[in-house]
Amino acid sequence: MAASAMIDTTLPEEAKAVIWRISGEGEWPPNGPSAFDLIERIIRSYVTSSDQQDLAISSIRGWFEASGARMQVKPSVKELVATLILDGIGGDRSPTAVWAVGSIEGDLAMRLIRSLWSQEEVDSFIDAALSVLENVCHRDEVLDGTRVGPYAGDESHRAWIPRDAVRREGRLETFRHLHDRGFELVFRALHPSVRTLIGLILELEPERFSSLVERLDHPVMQARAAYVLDSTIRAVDHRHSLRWITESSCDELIALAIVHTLKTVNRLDEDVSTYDRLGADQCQWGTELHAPKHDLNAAALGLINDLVGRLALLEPIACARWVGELLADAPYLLNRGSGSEKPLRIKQLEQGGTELLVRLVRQSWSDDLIASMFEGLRLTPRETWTRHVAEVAWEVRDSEPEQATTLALAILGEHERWMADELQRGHVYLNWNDWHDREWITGLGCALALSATHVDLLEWISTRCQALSLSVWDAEENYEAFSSADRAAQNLFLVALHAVSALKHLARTVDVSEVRSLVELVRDHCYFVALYLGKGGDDSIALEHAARSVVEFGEPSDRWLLEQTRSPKVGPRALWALIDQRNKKIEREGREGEGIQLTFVDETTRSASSRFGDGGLYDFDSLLYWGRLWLLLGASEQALHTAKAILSFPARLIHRGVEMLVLELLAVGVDAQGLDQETKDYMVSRYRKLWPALGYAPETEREDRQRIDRLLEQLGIFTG
Amino acid sequence: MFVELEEATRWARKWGLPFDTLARISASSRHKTSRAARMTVLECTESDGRARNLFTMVRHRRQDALGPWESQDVERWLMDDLGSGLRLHRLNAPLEKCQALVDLILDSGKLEIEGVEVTYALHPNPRCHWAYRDESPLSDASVRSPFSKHSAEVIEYWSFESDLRDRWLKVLDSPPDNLPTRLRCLGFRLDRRSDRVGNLMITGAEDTITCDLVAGHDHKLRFQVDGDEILRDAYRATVWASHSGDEVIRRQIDVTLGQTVIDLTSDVDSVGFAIFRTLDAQCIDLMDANLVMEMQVRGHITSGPTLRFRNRQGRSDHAVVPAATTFVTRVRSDEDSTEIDKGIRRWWLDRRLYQDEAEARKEHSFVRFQPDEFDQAAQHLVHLVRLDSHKSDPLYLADPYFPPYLEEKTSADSMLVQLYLELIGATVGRQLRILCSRKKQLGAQPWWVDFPKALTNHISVRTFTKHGLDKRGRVSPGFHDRYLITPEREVVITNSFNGWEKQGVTFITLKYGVYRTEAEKLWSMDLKSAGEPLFVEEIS
Repeated sequence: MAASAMIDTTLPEEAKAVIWRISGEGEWPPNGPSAFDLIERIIRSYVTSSDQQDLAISSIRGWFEASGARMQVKPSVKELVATLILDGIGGDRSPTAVWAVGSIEGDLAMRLIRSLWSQEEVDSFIDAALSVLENVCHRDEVLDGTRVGPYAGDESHRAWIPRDAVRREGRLETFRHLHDRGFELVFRALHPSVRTLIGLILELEPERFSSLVERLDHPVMQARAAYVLDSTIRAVDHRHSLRWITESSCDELIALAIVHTLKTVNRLDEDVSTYDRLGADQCQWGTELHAPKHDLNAAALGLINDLVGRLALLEPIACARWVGELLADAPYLLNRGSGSEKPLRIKQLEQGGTELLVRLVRQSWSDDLIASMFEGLRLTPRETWTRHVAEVAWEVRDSEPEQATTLALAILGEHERWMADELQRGHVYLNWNDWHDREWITGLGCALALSATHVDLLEWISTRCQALSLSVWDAEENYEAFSSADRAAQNLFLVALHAVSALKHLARTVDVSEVRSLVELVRDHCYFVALYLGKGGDDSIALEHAARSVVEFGEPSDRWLLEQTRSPKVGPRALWALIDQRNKKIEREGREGEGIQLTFVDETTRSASSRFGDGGLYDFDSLLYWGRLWLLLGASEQALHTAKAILSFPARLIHRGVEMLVLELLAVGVDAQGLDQETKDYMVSRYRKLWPALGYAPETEREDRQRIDRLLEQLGIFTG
Repeated sequence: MFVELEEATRWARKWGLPFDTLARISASSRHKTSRAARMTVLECTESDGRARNLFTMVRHRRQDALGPWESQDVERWLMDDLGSGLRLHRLNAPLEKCQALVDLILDSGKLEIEGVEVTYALHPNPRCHWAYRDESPLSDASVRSPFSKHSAEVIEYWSFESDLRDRWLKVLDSPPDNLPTRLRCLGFRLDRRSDRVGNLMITGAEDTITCDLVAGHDHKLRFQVDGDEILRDAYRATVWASHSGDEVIRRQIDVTLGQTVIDLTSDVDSVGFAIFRTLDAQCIDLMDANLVMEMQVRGHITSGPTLRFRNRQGRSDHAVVPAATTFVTRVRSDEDSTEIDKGIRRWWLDRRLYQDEAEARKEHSFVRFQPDEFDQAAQHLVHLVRLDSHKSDPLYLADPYFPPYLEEKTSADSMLVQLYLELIGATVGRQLRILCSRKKQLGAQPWWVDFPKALTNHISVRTFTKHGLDKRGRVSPGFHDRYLITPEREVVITNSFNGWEKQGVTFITLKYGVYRTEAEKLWSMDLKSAGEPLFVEEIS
């Protein structure tokens, strides 16, 4: 109060009237002279008496204090300076006047404007502010490089976002990026006055949000605007961002709506999770919905379905592109979960999105529509986007067979292009633990099955593998290229094996001998490359799939299966998969007598044992599959050998899964050998190490534990 | 009567008799099964458009080893333009076809590939030798087997065209992009073995049997033999293993199909085997490999700050870059096994060093003296000088810091004076040419000028310096080596005389003659001539 009164009485009126000019010019981006540096020039320009000038300059300089390298207005005079600015501006709506308002702290400016300005003055100010901000966008001076990361304090750097990067990435990805990782840009790098002006516009007239986003063509400004609005409205209306999508919405608005709606879905899920873990008292509710009164799960699902429904308002080509982009980005927008299975929300969103695409394909099929859908789907670093197209093709296979074939051929074409590129770079990889990759391969299998009325799988595989660098010469001359080619071949095998399953679904004839030949090709390939890649060959997913496929679709006789157990080319993983799948099939179909089964098991055990020897020739992974095979066959002696062989490997390899397997192998093995005290102590200690707490086992291990408990009980070992 | 095929070939050539030339390619008629071959030709195009063979390789192996995917480019030449006038041609074909092409080359000195006539200049008599897949650098085979699972019998036709070799060395000075990687197709590291430039090499995998030796975690060695069939006692194998340099097992075993398990009583860090053909005691496969126990990778990332987005494809658009980062990744093959204790390892290294040095000393090719062994080192040098005293060829002694003035005397200098006196005495009657590369001080005279001429007039000292002065106004030395060249020896001396007392010195006898040639070249330069590469002055 004292300071304010002092300013009021000592500062000449002429000087008071130009305070806004000092602030306005000092705030004009990009960084020029600061308000403090401008005091003398502006006062000498506008104040006539030299005595008054000196007095005003020293007086105004006294309002500032050092903050780091900058001079800023002291907190005690902020309100008075703000009042002088707003009084000084009057009806002036020049850029300097707008920046002067921008220089006032947001909350203070809001309070003073509401008390000092009429609605007309507010409207004219917002129009002027939008024009000024628009101009800043055109000049690409939105960001202040000195406030970001490594440049902080270095005034020589400008910062900007390359427009072509936004185009290439897609707006959805850009806004997601800014939402998730753009803290520095959205919250710090924006010039403070730009931030204040955006906040003022949306506080004063929130209905201007759409036009603000349309006019201010800069992703950081748009993201900031959406953040400001969302943070004020979400707490009272969790569905408000859905309404940003209308038939006439611009792309940026649609992208922001998708990002904020799906982030609200995440918040609702987090609320559910926090409520379940900590109870209502600990929850910081993200929306107006609070458990247990409201059904948060239903609200999340409702948001997802309504988001897809909103996109359906757009004209078909734009709709196809946006649904494509949504599906491409959903795994990054929605909570990912920690397992290798597809998270529920992604499943729900993909279901809705695919249904909408199917509807578009059925009702509005055109080349442009497909191109638009592909354009949206492509906006992801994963090649797996074609799985969505495969879903659509599969859904329309009966009603629109020609369209299904066209889509299938496009998918296969994309796959070939991808493979050629990746081979060039030596980057062909497939992660079978990742649900994206699994669904991708399934989709490719479906596409292969749909691509023609008759598909010759052997010819398809052979043509492609012969073109790869897979000869022994390649193995010796260029290990990397050979290894990449092997991974490419394994990818192709998996596609072909999944195509077998798809063909069966389509009720197409798949010759049993063709399936077996395909499986033999996989087996021969894996055996050959294992020789030159210096690995056991048991890391091949394709090999396991081949074994399972031949049991399901190759109608193998027991004799054929027994021959496989004798073949050196059939490794333990394939053997285990053969027997495991055979058991599952028998269980499913219930077609085999006990006597036949026992004979088969005896023969298989005898034959496999002679190959196994003492197990010393096998690597660690192979031993695990041998172990699983012995458990399936109930071969106790071999189980014991295998457990010992596994335990001879370094302890760092023995993770929980292996511990459980070893315990089970020992429990099966010692049954026949008799149980000595040392082994018993060892098993008890292993068991206690695995599950130290009484009665508790992680959900994923409960089935294994029950099985081990039963075995240990049979042996008379205390398991409590 | 039985004669070796090469012998018969040579004999037939000598007498100009017709001979089944197809047999020239393969020294052995053991290869009954059909064989697949890959022929690779690296050629360079001269300015006159002539294509000359830089290296031709024919590799052949069992047809059934090719893998399940027969290549589509069978019997069709494929070409890769490597740049710098180099082209690499590749042909996959049955061995018979490649044999025919080799015969064509041997008969006509030419090979036409897709309209390009490649010329060869080969010595008509081939050399036959073996290439093993031995990992050990001590293997005495001149080249490694190009087959990863087999050793190979090699027939090599040599070329002695020096200009072709010069051309290749020039290419290596500024190689085309990615040359080593693209040359892998050749099947031979010509970039490391330029002595083979112009040659034609035929290598046949010794793939009747395939052998492998695996060291398990259970203190067992497993010797695995695969093949169609093996006659009893057709082969013998020796298997060995060592730990920390101590051989823990060496055993001769029968070679039978399947697995032979050998029990060990110790850890091993190196294993190997050799297979011998009983018929002629020929070693047909040899492998000696160190087992990797621990590997450490150290990485250092430094990045300048850039304010740009980085999108998910990795394109750099925005990134807040962290400061310099150092990371170390340690990979152990067997953490639980008895770690080679550092102390034991160091003892072993000490012992190994001592043994190796003792071995080297025995051959007088490597003699080392510690800092406190000046007298012994001096005696060794004098001994070396005296060794070839029956020859009258000049002796060359090079030391850039050879100090003939010794103006400021130190205790070390008295030892040096003594050494020089002994050298002078030991070389009387012969020519001792001393090369140094430091300017004498103006007017300074070597301290031995007062000695009787009869003692010193066989000594010449010349300085070799670069023309002109460097940026700091100093004279730059013309060489920086230290060596002694006697009529029959070339000895590299690792330190200048004035450093022996502080740093010690090592004498290494070389067989190459590189320094001898260089010393003669330096001494042949005209004195005080601006036209010579170096400025030469005689100071004594």
